[in-house]
Amino acid sequence: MTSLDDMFTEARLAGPAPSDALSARVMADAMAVQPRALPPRAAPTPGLLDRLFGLFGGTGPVAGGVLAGIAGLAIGYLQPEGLASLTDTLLASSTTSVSMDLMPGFDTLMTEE
Amino acid sequence: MARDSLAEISDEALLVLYANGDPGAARLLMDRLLPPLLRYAARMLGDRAEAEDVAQEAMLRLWRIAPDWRSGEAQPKTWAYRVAVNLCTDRLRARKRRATTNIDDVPEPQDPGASVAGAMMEDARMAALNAALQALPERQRQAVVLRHIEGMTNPEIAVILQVGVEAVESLTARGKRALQAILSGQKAALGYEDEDEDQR
Repeated sequence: MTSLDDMFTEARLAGPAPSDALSARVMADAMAVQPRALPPRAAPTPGLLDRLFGLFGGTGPVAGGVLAGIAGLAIGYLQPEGLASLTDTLLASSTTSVSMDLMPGFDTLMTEE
Repeated sequence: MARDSLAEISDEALLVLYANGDPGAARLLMDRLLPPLLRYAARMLGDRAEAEDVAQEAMLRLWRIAPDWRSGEAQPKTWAYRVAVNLCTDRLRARKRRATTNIDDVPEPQDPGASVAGAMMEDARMAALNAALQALPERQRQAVVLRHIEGMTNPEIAVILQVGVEAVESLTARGKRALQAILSGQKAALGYEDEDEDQR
């Protein structure tokens, strides 16, 4: 090791140490600007609707039930026109009309002379 | 959190704990960072009071940035050093401006050799080293102090000085050569034997 390196080592060990006053100032700064941890807040008191929904398992299940009801009403009231036209299109070519006379002599009997 | 349980935690984790309201984290982080910041500022400025102001300001800026700290981008120590480097540079430039504007108030420029000789007479190696450091160009002094006295790595110094690693290597090498030149011939007076004589 050269003498200069020895001097560097001495300098590292002999450097000025923070005084108590400086440490106190730095800590005071730290406390002054430190973000405060928020205290835990009390849980809000449930209202009437919250308690009512609670009977059915909460707002989620209630919302699901309401949505299912609306969907049921819509299916019941609305005409399934789209479905009818679809079946007509699909079945039109395969439908065969057959007419047959079950009482061939009936017309003759009804004829007045 | 208990102080013992904080001892093994990284500087970055301590800063996050501080931002979350842990008072013990601030104390431990200060114990780790304040001494090297003060040492660095004292070496750069050669004035204890100014060095304390710089170290306190660097720590204050670290406290303020804590809530917005981006994990993984930098180390708190490196970040605080960079602040201290800039603050020291500002103060040194202000000194130069004052010296330029009012020449009558400027003390006679010190001859590094004379300073070293005076320090030797007092048998104060550190005073001699400080005087020699003050004679270096600012950039070289920054690099030499960070590398050889504070023991930082070249990549860390590159981040602090915002230059490349090769530039750091060049600055430290030139700075060390200049120091050796300033202190050469004074080794015996400083209590060191001449290396050339040792090699014979």
